[in-house]
Amino acid sequence: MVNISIIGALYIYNYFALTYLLTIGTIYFVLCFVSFKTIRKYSAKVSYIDIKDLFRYGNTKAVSVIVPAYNEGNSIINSTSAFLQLEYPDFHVIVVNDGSKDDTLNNLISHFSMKRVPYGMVDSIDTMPVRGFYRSKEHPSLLVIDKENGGKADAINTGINASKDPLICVIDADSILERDCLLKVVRPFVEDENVIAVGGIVRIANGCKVEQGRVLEIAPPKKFIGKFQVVEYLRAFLFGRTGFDAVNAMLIISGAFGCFSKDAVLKVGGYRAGCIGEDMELVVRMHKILRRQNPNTRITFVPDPVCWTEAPETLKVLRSQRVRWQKGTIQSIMLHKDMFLNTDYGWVGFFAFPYFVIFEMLGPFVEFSGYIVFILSALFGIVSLPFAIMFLTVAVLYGMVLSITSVILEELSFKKYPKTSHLLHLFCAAFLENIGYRQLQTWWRFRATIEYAFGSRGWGKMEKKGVGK
Amino acid sequence: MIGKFFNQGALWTTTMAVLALLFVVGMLILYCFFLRFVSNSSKKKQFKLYAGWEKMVFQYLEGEKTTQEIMALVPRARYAYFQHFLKSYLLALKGDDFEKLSALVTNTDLFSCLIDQLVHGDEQVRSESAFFIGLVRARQAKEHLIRGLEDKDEGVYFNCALSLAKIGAIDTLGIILGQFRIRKKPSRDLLLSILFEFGTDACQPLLWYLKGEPDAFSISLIVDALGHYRYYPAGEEILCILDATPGYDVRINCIRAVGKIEYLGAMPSLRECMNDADWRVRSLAIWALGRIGDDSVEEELVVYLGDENWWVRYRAAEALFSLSRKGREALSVIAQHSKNKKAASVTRILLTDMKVGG
Amino acid sequence: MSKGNKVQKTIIYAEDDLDIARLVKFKLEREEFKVTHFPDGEGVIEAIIETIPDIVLLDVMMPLRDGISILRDIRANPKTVSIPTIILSAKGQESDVVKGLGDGATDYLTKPFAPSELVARVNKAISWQFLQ
Repeated sequence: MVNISIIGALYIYNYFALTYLLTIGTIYFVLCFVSFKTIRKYSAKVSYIDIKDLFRYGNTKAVSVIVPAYNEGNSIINSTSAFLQLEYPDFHVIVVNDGSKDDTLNNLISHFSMKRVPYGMVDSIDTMPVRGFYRSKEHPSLLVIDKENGGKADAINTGINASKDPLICVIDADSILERDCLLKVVRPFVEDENVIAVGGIVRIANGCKVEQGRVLEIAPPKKFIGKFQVVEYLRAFLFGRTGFDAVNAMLIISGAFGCFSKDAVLKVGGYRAGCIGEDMELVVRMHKILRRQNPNTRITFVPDPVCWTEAPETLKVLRSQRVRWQKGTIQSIMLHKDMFLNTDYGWVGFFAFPYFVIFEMLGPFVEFSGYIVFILSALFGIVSLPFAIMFLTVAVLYGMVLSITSVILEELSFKKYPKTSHLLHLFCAAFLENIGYRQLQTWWRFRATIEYAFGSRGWGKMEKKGVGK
Repeated sequence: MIGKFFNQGALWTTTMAVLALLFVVGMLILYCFFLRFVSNSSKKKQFKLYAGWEKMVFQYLEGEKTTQEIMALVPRARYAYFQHFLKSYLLALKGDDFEKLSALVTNTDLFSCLIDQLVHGDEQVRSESAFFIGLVRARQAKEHLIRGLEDKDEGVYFNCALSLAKIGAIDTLGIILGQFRIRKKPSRDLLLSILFEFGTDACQPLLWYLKGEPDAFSISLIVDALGHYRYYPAGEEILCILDATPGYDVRINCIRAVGKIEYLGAMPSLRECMNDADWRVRSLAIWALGRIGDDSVEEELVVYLGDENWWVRYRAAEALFSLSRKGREALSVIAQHSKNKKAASVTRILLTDMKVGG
Repeated sequence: MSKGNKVQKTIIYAEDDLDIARLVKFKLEREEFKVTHFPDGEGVIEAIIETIPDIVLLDVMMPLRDGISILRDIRANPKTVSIPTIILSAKGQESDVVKGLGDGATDYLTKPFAPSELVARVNKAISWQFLQ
């Protein structure tokens, strides 16, 4: 009796897992095609109106590029010089030294011949105390703020406090921005007053030829672990986010590159200090607070202002990154769980939020336990051969189809990778990604979820190599 | 046991489904490589084509080739490429060379092709050709552009309006403003860019339209444009609107405009605005007074250094700095010795900004 | 204007819009100038110091280094301080023009521009230089 009910339960669970995998795959598939349409429309629009044309009359929106820096002594000079060289008529760069223990601040001071100046703040989000402001006559648009350590969110808030510009662009100190990316990311703000935040696509710089904080030649990473991430990023950014954006339900703007209306950020009280996924949390909160005030509020995504970032190349670092992301996602969802199926938030409440709860937060559980149950069932001979084939098809092959579709859609739209051999590499990666790599992700995320549930909410460190050495 | 639910037939079906899926993926990959191949070769072709055209067009600009000779080299099927080829030159040049290049479009078959696209193309094509017609300043396309203003698609309507502005069709300003009033789209900035594109010739008619304009949104736009052109004769009318309108959006634009125009007659009203409850009105009024150069408010400005709003404080400091040496001296004293933290902080920021620039 | 009895004047020209750069180069070469073109700001100042051209044309917005900062370097070096330098800037960057003139630009031109005007200004800048 007991035996049969266990077998029955296992059997049913197998079907449940199968349906689950099939659903998530299909959702992605639909998103893919929605995004593809959006991207085609976007590229066509961009190709004939010169973005600079819009700014010819000085009616530009000034931007503050805010760079939180913690122990970036190796790369800060290169990246700051590159940020200062961005192509945009009116912008400032605010580097916030978040109490670094290395020579980040001294490098900045000596390289840009900066002097400590009497200065002050424009706005007053609560932050750790500021130790000093530095400016330089040679680089009037650069402001360096030295403050006591308080974490990334705190550093960004400090930068926001010091900014006089209507728009702020938040980037990682090791991000490499394409020169015209500000022009592109500001465009939605100009075209629609209801836009309060714009995310850009993040791509992986490993393998590219990088010099002085600029990408000179694009190529996929040499190691497979990097290539897998390229495919993953393509899927997530190009097609996942554009898809969500099509129904104004985008819940994440990457911390590596996002542009916000300063007013909107102030209205919601700035970044939440001490949060693991401060970037997602801010966007969710913006949806929550600002869409209630103005239902037309738009948080959008532009697929081609490109920010390049260095991806982890060892499993250990990658794991800690993914654990952090998973915990950040869960935390953001739990902090705003009242948005779940809430009619006030349109597609966010009924699609994006449930999607995140079911597939991002609980996904690893279902997937992981699904694999275990499947293996057990197979060992005990509970499932038939056709079911086994079916399960593996959905779990692995369907994933492959999705990954490959992402690469194909990239090829149909942006074609960033110049050589035909690059394409071959990406297809190989898309193929292999689903055998092992994805399951490993599931395992990490599963563990992260467990850890989160049982209280270990640590950050997980990300070791970085300097960019452009 | 339960496994027997599936018979051989099910196994066969599943396997076939898997194989079919694999097949589809394989074909997709092949298709992708095929696309890459096609785009590579067309890029090469395009490159060669452009290089050839470039040589010819440079000679044409020197008067060594005629329009007919050039167009004989461009087959109809290549018009889209040729249009693309010309675009970067048309955007960057003016004067004789520009005229010559635009003649390549307006005096040839290419033009009828463009009009055809504007009328019959899909949204994208319609927008693009509307834009291009403006780019080559094809005045003879005016009627088509006016019809395009009624287009359902926002992009087409916007580009038609922009092109009408580029060809200097000031008589269509009324129709365009009418569309603004109805649509209120795409956005303020984009609509303003249309008004800016008309150039200073639009000032007089704009002022005329302003006098009869019932719609607050359009009023703000026109006022903004007149301010941008610093059209002094509009000062009085804008001032009237400022005094008579309660709506903040309109008032703010009026203050900005009289500030840009530096309309002397606005000073009494601006002084009153300094006491407004809305900080945007206060800060802009202070800014405008600083620009116009009203040194009678200097002492009052010192009080505003302690305003609750940062921008009001900053604008007050800025105005003091620009008005007189006395103001500057007062600022340095405040920066160092004032007990009012807000005032001291904002003065320090301003003095540093002025010293460093930027 | 015949060759031979006149020393060919040299121009260093930095501009990132390659289509326009080719056209300007073509026009200037027709006027018997020897033009060295740079597609971005890198290496421009080094080339100027090394070859001491008769005139320098700088686009303001360029990758790697902007025109204004190159201009400052030209004026800071006693070897190059007197080389006439013309700044090219896009409309809407009038503040750059002001900055450029403040930093010692001989002349400026805003885009869109007429190539013939550019040639005329180049000639004017060189002859002024000659008079001084």
